[in-house]
Amino acid sequence: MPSLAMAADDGLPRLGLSPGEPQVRSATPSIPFGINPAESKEFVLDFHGYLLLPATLGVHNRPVTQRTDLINPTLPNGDPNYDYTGGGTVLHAPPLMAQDLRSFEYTGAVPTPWGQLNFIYGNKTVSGTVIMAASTFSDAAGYYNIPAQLGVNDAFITVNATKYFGFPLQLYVGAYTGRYGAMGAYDAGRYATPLIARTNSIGETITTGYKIGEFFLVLEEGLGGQLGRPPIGLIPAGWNDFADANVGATFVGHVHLGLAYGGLGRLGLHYLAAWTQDDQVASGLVPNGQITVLGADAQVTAGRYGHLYVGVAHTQAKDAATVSGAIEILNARGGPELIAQYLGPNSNGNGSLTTFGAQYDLSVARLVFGQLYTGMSPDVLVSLFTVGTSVSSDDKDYNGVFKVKLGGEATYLMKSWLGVSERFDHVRLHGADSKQAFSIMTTRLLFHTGWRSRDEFALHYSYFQSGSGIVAKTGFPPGSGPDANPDRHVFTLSGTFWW
Amino acid sequence: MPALSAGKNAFWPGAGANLSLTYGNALVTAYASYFVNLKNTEYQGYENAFRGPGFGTAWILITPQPIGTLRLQFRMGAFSEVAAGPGQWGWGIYGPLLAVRGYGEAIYGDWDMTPDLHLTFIHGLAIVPGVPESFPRGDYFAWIETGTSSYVHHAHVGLTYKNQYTLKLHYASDYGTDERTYLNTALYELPRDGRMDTFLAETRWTSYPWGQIGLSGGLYNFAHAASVGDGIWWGIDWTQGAREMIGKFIGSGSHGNGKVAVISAEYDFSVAPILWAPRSFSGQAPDLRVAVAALLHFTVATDDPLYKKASGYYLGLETEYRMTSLFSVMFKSYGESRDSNFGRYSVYSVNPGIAFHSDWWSTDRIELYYSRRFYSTAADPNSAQPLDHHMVALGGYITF
Repeated sequence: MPSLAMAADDGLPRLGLSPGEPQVRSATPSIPFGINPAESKEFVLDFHGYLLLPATLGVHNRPVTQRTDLINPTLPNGDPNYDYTGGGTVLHAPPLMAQDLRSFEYTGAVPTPWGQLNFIYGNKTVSGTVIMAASTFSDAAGYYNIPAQLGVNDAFITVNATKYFGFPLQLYVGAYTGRYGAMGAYDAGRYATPLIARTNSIGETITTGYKIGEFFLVLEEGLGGQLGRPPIGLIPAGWNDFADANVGATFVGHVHLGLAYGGLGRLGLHYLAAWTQDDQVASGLVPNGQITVLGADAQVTAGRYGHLYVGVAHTQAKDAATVSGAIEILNARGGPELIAQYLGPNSNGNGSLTTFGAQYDLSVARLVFGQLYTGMSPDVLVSLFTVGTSVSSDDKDYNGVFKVKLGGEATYLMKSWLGVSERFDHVRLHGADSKQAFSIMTTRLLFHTGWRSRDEFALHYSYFQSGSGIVAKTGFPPGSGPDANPDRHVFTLSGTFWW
Repeated sequence: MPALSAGKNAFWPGAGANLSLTYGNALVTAYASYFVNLKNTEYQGYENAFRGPGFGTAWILITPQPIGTLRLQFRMGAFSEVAAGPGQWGWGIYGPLLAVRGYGEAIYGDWDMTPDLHLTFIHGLAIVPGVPESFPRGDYFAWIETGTSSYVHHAHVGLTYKNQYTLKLHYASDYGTDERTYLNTALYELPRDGRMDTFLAETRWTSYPWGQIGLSGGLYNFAHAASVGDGIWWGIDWTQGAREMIGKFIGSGSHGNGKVAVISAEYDFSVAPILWAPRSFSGQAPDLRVAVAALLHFTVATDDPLYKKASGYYLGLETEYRMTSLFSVMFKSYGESRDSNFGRYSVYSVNPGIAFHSDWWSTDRIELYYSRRFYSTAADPNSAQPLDHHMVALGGYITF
């Protein structure tokens, strides 16, 4: 099994994450999720899974307040037994923090629940995959949140036609995600955010390659759409994930060109276009919407010198309010969330994002000992990461906004079972405005069952230092309730395991 | 369908399946359960979104090498723990007296102090995230929950002598901080922080061929518990969380303050092993299985004058005569009676039934039950829509 900065396999160079891989980051040390296609000639059933199970609470000082809206007249105000006077320390689960996955503020420093079970049946030529997933577990949840129980989240057929054509050719058909701009060696990176784009569609993806000496030219093409669209008249509600009936049927096409050199690195060019030309929208005749992304990235797997990823992307939105979540930009689903998070309500979905990102991961033991280091002895892992985006929008209040987040993490694996990690994140949501900036200092105590185990148990403490303009979204959906001051202290106890 | 009834049923009234998956080795194991219920229009009559499918439980279990005679385990994930059930295997006709749930951890210890004496202990922490205040109660989600976040701390210690005598002590506290800005509690009062504490003792005597007798009891203490969520998942008779415990046992006028004492006993035995003794009985012959249970509860303290010194009881009898490897006859009878706002709340039932199974030890069953039910006025107060007095249930299940 490769460890950090070692090649995962000898197949086609990866232009993004494979559909079956979880988007959340892998546990320390970073190793592949191990979801390779079946290698058997015979049909076999393969079973993989990933669990991330955190218990998280936020600690805050509650101001002394008193509600006066008592509706039971038999209980008089002023009675100390029944008046709510608050004050003192308060606990929050989930914590009140500026960590909305769909927003730029998200860092992934505080884990949230995720589970998936991958069932794969097939052989090395053809296989079918069904992935059931959830971001909640009912026996521990406060309520049954339908959208968080994703059910069958992905279902697709994989065909490896290499033996028929004499050159690498892989085909995906079905419902699956495409993640481009994965900053980590084997995951979406420390921010768990595909830098260039993510597609959520039912369709096809064809990947082929041609080897010229040490070079490997990779070409990938994909086309798909969503299974349905919110029907006209649908009222946004919790059960339908607050669907926007104004988005139209959306399709996404994408093409990617990569050039890899041995196991050393890869260059990639990416073009994605999502569009809608639907006349069935509640608001009447609307212009066709489009979101296009042009991106380039490079990753260098420099052996003992670590893994480096650098990427840029330019996202152009044109009347994007009607484009659905078939495409995600920085985890924002489609035009409505792109407008809400970046372009502004008065943009009419017109604007652009110019995004850059980089991540560098280094194993100090591997740097010092080279190939002698096998991952079975103490190590220090260093990771540096950043993402920034510049907004150009027709909404003057949002035009010119520059958002950036950066951070670093150092992990000392001192024993096969024990490690300690320190991570720092700084997020600026509006350029130099320090009121809209916050920092997170996260200390983690890590426990594993072995040097290269696929499990991790961690005790986290995160300290949030927030500017006065930073609020935690509350309500259902988040943002519909009163904004709240974020918690300063967040404690997490988490377990992770994948197979 | 569904039948309009109250009180305990002799059969599980749902329809669905549960997929339990485990992966791991002797050191680390992952477990996930995925539930699927019949919830669509074709079978449910309407699309009942509340019934899944979804992930229910998931956890990761670490089992390190024993330290001498001390065996430890560590579990992390989303799961529940049950305690103080007087029935066999810790459950019983009226269930455990305590269950806790949430995202969290638990440490398990089992120490052979002597060849005959075992010490067990469990310590755990769990968190149930709160429900947003603006979550629309009564939408697809039929059950209106308090919705404050729960912080549960629980600890258990037990001694087992010769695998025959068991004594366990259980403690659990559920703490809720309530910051609702416009909603009131289920008691129509202003929210404030509260807690619910549970102190229980569990004893058990097991002896072949005589069966097992379990006796559990203890105290539930409520302090402004209308603001406590359901991190304590079950109390008496699977009553869910602090809110329902308040409603049933200390009254809606209690302000969430009070104390409830409980004692629960159950005797489980089979006639065939007694008759076959001293020969051992393998289970592959006709047998009569019997379980008898009784549970008493007393309201020790409450702010609600209607529930001062309130009390109640549950009685249960479950018998199964396994006539052949393929066929059984059952008879179950239940009764419950307790004080309530509207007088004495009482439900009694007799439930004869038959079952078909593919072998003596098989885990498949097809069951047919008839239930005759009797209600007091407090249990069946709506004359415009009275509860059913006659019920028939046909169903089957298989575990593998």
